[in-house]
Amino acid sequence: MKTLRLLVLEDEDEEAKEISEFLSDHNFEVTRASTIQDAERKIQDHFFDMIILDIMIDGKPDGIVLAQQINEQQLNIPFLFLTSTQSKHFFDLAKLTQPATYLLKPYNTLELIFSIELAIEKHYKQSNTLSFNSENAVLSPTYIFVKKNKSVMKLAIESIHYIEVKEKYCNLISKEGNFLIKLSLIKVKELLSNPDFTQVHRNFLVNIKKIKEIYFEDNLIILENDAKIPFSERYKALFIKDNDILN
Amino acid sequence: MSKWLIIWCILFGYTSTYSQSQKTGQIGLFYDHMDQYCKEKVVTTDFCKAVDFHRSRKRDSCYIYAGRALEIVKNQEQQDILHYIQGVSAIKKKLYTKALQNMNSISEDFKFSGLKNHKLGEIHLVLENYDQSIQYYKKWLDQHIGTKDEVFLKTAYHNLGVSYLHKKEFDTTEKYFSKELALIKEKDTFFVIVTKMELANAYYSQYRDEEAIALFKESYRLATLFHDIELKQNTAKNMAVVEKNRKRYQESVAYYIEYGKWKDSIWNRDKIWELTEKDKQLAIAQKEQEIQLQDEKIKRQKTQRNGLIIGSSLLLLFIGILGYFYKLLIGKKKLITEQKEQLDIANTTKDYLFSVVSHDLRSPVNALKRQHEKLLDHIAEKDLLGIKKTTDTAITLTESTSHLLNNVLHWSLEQSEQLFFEPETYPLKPILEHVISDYEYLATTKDIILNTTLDASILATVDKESLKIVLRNILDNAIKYTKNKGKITITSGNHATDKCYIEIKDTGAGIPPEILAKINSLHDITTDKIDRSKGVGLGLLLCHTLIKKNNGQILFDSEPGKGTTIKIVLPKGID
Repeated sequence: MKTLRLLVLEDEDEEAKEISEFLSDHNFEVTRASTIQDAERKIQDHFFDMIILDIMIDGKPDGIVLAQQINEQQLNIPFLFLTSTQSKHFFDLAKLTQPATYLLKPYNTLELIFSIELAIEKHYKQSNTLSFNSENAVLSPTYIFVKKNKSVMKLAIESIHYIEVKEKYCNLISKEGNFLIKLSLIKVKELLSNPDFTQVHRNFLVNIKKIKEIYFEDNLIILENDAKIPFSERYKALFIKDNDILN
Repeated sequence: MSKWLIIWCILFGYTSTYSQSQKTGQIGLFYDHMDQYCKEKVVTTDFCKAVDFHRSRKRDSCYIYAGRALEIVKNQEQQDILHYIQGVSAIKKKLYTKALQNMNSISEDFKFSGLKNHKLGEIHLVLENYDQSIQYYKKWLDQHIGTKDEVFLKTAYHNLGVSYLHKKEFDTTEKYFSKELALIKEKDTFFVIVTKMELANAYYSQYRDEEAIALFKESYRLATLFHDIELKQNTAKNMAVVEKNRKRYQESVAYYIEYGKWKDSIWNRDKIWELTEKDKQLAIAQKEQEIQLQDEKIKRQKTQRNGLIIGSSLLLLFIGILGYFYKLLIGKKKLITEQKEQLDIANTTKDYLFSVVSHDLRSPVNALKRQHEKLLDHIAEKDLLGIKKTTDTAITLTESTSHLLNNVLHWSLEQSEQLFFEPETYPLKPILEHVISDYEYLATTKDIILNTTLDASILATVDKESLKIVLRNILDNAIKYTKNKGKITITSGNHATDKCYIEIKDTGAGIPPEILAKINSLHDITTDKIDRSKGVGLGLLLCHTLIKKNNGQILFDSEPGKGTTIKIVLPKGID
């Protein structure tokens, strides 16, 4: 499990310190930028999982400007506004940048983490998952975001053993635990678009890197964690075709 | 002096009487002969047409068609027939020279040379070639000795008589007239009168005055009984001349007068006819005028109608435009009224906020000031316990003031529609937990137990920030009015299939029934109706407004002394 890397744009040192301390306490890696230029540089140099923006920076709505830049450059980073501004004018402007969510000051710590959860959910279009139930996770092409000890952490998708259909949605089985993803298996496959994840049964998607043994005659796959996955005839043929080594 | 003035010369056209002899006489044979040609269709249509017109006595048409047919037809007999009928037409049209040519063009072999001779006699008589006329008539008489065709015979005798009369061979004249008279039946008054008159003329010319006068008188007497005006006139004139010659002037004058009278009456008859014609023409002209008038009238009516249509459509258009402007005006008026109402509301809100600031804000700020002065005293006295107590009080005061300020801010934003409002679907439990966590410290300081039973499966569609404002207000009040060691229970759950609820129950002082009723009726109350002295604050008003805006309901229930229960019902979200 890895911690999330956050960039906080906040001009007031006192508040920035408070946020940083609090987020660090909850297993987040926080970088603070005090000006828009500072923030731009830091975005270029480092990878961030999320950006928290104050709207008014030194009396100018630079938070909104930065949000517009993030959209224009298609950085694909979720961001949220954390602000004491209640002017409808700025809210309307901010709304045009389609932020994941807003949080109004004064806020309490629970609300901040909740907002981070909402931001991740909305960004990856899997609403009411993380914030709703700790068993839920949000899937992105590279990471799985999960709840851990009142915090949010991420797992690399390589750590997934297999994905199994559970009713409408999918269950994700990894070394770190099982998580529910509010997406259909087809959507999951589409989202991952990773050749390592191969469908072996209409209900199963398997990380081929985690396969220990395959029994073609018994239509069975055994993974590293000893999970037994059925191998259907239909997908077997495709599997053999795609993997020359087996021929 | 000429003894006779009148020659009564009647050319008896057999055409006037041929209908009687058509079937039997020569003319009948002639017609049958012509019909035969037409029936056999060996002739041109013009021939038949000429014959038809001849028979129906349409002289002009007959003359023209016969002329045309003559140019086409080569057969001698047919040519003869055409010459004959054209000749007859010419006679009737008084074109005697032409008629004579036609008759002379007829060949000697013509089957009906009798007819030809008869006609030639007639023509020559009119042309005053009396010898030739007599020659032709005699020729005819030679051809038709013992004929039964009385009309032709009578005509022949008569015309011979007339011819001889002109030749002054009175004996012969008398002979022929007598022959004619013998043929005329008594009934045929016209011929009797005419013939008698002619005979009288003959006698008179021979100075056989007595006989002549007797005959003149007889013819005059007969004429007076007869209907023919011309006969009456002529007989009267003859009598006048005769009497004058006898030097009986008085009688002569009387006859002249009579003659004049008949002349007048003839003239009158003609005149009447003319007048009738004229009347007819006048009537026609009048009718035409009437028609024209009618046309004019119709035209006028049309114009009127068109004018009416145009006028009415213009009127309609005008009314439409008027209506449009009226509607516009009404719209403007409505807008103005609406704006006025909005302005009134804004004004009341402003007044209300001013009153809040002046009443509710002044006292805590003053209290705060006193606490700080007290603090200075405590510092001077180095009374640490006092400092802590005073600071605690100051913090409480600051918090409640800050709370009030937040309410004022939110209220004014809401009233001016500046409050950011965006309902979305959220898990209800975390939001409740977040708000409650802010009051945990406050509750512990008052030894109040906060019990929560929250349903984790509920999603609500709300505007998160406004719901938080409501929850903060309610919890704030609950803690404020609950005594130490009290209990506050917060529950959430399903209310109906599409609704969820949040219930906050305290063991506080409760609300007196009259105030409770007021609070519950707040959802349809405006700021101008709030009586601030009755203790209904901005917080509760804000709660009502915001829950309503979230499509929810808020219900207050209370038992004085036992506590208050507040239930918020909100629309559930769909996953």
